[in-house]
Amino acid sequence: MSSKSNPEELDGAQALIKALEQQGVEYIFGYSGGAAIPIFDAIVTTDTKIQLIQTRHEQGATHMADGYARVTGKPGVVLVTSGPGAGNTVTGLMTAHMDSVPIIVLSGQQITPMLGLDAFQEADIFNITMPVVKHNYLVTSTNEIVHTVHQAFAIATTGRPGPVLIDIPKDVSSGMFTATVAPPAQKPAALIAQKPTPTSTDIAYVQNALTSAKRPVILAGHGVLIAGAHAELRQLAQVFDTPVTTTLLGKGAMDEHDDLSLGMLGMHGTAYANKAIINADLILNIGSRFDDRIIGQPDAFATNATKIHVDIDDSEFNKMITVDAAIRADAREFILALLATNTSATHAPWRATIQTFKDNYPLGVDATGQLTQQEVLQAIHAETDGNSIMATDVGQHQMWAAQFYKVRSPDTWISSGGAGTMGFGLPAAIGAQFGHPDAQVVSLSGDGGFQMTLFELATAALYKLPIKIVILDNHYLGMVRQWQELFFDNRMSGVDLEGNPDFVKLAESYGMPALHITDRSRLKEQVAEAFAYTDGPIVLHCEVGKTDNVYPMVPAGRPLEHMLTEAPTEKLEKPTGST
Amino acid sequence: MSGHKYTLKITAHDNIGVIVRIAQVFARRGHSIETLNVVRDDEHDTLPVLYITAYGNKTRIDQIVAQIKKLVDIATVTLNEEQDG
Ligand SMILES: Cc1ncc(C[n+]2csc(CCOP(=O)(O)OP(=O)(O)O)c2C)c(N)n1
Repeated sequence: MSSKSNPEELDGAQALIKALEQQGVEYIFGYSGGAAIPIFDAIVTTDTKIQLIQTRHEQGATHMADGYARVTGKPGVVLVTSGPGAGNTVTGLMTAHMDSVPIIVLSGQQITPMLGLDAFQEADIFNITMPVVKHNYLVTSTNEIVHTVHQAFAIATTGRPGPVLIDIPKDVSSGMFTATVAPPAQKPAALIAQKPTPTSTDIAYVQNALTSAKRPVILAGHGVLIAGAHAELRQLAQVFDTPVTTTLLGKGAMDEHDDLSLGMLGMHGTAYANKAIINADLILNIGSRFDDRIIGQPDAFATNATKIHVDIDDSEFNKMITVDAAIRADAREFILALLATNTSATHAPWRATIQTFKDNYPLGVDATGQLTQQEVLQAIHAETDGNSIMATDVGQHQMWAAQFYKVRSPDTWISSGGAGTMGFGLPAAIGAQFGHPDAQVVSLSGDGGFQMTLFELATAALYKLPIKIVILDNHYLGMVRQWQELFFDNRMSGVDLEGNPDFVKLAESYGMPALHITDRSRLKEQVAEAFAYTDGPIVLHCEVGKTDNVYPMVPAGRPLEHMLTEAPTEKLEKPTGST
Repeated sequence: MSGHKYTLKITAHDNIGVIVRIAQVFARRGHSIETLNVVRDDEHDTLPVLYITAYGNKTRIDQIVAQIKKLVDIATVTLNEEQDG
């Protein structure tokens, strides 16, 4: 480790910060420690505009970066120390990886001569994280730092996005940087512009399929949002008179208030979306990976339909579902090419059938017993008109939110889909609020997941973020309890959340106001009161029915035809086809 | 060892950890690598070539190939099915 003689000279950590500036980074979500001190120091000594957001836990930092990335499309940046600090980012990396979200995690590391010697707080984070990142680096020389950062950003944001980790030993970050802080070889925008386009044969095939189909459905996934193709998707649906269903992560690809929207499909999708899929003769999947939560039993999925799969990642083709045509393309490029054919179609009888599905199987609420989660979500939807950024946690409330909180615009629905990470919601909401300071942001959690990252209330309070922090408290790990009720003879094991804190007092102890909501007659008024408060975060502690179950439900691994729209009257078989 | 025997010919950038990345694609699927050979030709400054043989059914091996192709450090992957006998 050398010391600087000339103040113009940079050490590795300072060069790192300069490179992040070149990438347009606004925030670093960080948590310090020994091996990362030089980098935290460089945030101070480089007089950078990048703002350090100090979190309360490294997992929180990663989900914040993730939420930031999902609403802005720009990579979220995390900075942590070695060993336990880096280890705490694994869940966040995995979450981002499963959902194709670009985040960059910078981890401090022991000095290079100590690597592999079990030195203090040495964790082999390079190898630990390999399966949960798109790519990662162990930087072994100071002069490589800038180049590595630029490569990492390019990898994170191009093609199918994903997280990248850069592990930086302390001697590397504190060594002298003698190269130039060269800007990225290619402007990030130029790289992103390199998108695969469909061939004219592909387009002719799809055009023909859409015009000759009698019962077509578009299945839109996260890829549509990543490609920024929501406007084009809507046009496509209109021009070809074709209803659109989305995955959990595709919510927002189509305004869910639109007549052509079927909402979400799959395990807890709307009955009309699932019935549309079951009856379809053509499924045009744009940017979804046919996840097991939407297809049920792979070999029984939409057996009567021609299936076309459009994806930027060709390793997804024929992975879950064998398709009739696989087209590697960026979602937007694909839709634009299809629209350029200037063809159209009408499917009036099919649209009428869909309408009868909607009329016969609406999403229902039983508002007779205790306050329900659905009613709270309806009240929030009414208050926001679906224009809020909604960050959910994982569990029953997430599925009800997917059903009842109809999303209007792209990049406003944030949810951990692939990983299903409890504890994601609150920090993701915080990251989203940093990304869009003027947007209204809602954090929605169950009482279980909320307690996994509730310490980030401090971050929300510290930065006075006006987030509406909703806790839907059923006193249970509700989704697991539902499975135990349905598949394990109601033997409850490890799901009772006895010992919960008083959430109102908890919020108040962080210096934020909180409302206790239990009574449906006051629900609207209390929600309005909470949304009128904009001085900082506010907690809405909603006590709701303890044993309500989410329907529709397709038992895991079963065909969509086995969907239950209400509580079953017979005992169900234990799921075997999927978890 | 069930299924046919396949050979993957992989050209890879010589970066730290590249063999681990390839091995992980097999390991996470509970799949074994039969043999692994690495050949490099320093005279011609070409990328190192890895030859991996593995048994398996075609679908599974195709999926492994697709996932290896996706790795940032990998340049090319070609798959050959070995003839019996
Ligand atoms: C980190 C993590 N641990 C465990 C699980 C398994 N899991 C899925 S849903 C769920 C229950 C969530 O309970 P709660 O947060 O109270 O939400 P609810 O289902 O009651 O709405 C659990 C334990 C998970 N998804 N993530």
